[in-house]
Amino acid sequence: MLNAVTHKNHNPNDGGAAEVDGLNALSDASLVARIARGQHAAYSVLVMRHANRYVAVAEKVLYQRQEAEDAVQDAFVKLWQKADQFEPETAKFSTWFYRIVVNQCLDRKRKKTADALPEDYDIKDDSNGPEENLVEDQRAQQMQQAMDLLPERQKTAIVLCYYEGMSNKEAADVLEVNIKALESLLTRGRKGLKENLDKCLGMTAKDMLNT
Amino acid sequence: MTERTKETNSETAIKVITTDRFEVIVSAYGSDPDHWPDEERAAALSFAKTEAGKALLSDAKSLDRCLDLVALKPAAVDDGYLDRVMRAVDHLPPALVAATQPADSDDTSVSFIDYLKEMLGVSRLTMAIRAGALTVAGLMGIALGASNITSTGYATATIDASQLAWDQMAPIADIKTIKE
Repeated sequence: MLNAVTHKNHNPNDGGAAEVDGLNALSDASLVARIARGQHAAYSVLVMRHANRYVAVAEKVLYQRQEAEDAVQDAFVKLWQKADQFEPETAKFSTWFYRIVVNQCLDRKRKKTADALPEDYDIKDDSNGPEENLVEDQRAQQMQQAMDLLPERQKTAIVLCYYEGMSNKEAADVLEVNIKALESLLTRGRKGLKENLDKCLGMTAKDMLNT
Repeated sequence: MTERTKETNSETAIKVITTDRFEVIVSAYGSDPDHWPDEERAAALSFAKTEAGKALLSDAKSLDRCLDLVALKPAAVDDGYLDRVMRAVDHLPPALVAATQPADSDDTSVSFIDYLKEMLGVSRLTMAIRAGALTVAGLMGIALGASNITSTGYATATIDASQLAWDQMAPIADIKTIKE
């Protein structure tokens, strides 16, 4: 497993393992303060602490793992460059960084054209496989496809509230909207999901669960 | 009871929500009360026990179960990826530089020495460039000093090469001033 500092090829001058032990005990906000001053070891600790989580979120929004990893890498670079703009008195680190990640994802989506969608987008449920796990996997894939057809902000709102368990206030902060607008995004998103399941896969949510 | 007490009791009492509001809550946040707004959860839970509430929840539950099919799992990125992210900022300047650091920072454990250590750790290439610049500046100082002795017969200024830092190349102009 990669270690923020003991990893031999990365910033050997950053300090020793004892320094990292100390950094690991620090809050995200304290690490960001150090990152603003150019402390690579603090940056490494933050990357190791959060990369998995944010790549998972980005993958939900972007649907593609490689794109998600690239978006999160760009978000961490932004963090390095804008660390001095983080105000721990007014925002939680997670909300602030989610906003950076989400904006990176939305930018990437905007740049992509419709023909960049996965080729198997319109596949129907033609599974006759007897294996339960295969059916389960296919349902999950179909559901993911139905989700990915949603407008980005609607999908992101669902990811933040439903999957990440954010409060409505936090999610609204990340998306930079008020709570009423967030609820509108969520409602339209869930309604759109039902329509996508019906339109693209020819089944309702209940049908899907009964197949 | 004072007016203030009445207001306080009114605020702490469970709000009553309408069918329309419950429908908005469920259609936006789904059937799981954990996802409902904190300030409306109690009222919504109360409404959920009604026939109208149960009907609305039933519909939302189906979609929630579909959403659960693609539950968020940790991405488990590999070491190569982490290394790439860490290296992506190796040659980028930090958001703050020493000159702009607040002197009364709460973060007292980050000293100026820490900052210097970070700066020295930027890269070997940067260090080599700085050392080279220092050497060149020193040699230029010595050459100019020798030139003064040759043309005027006496030294007009004593330039100590160790006083010339890599970022003080401008003093070449100062040397001329001293000579005058």
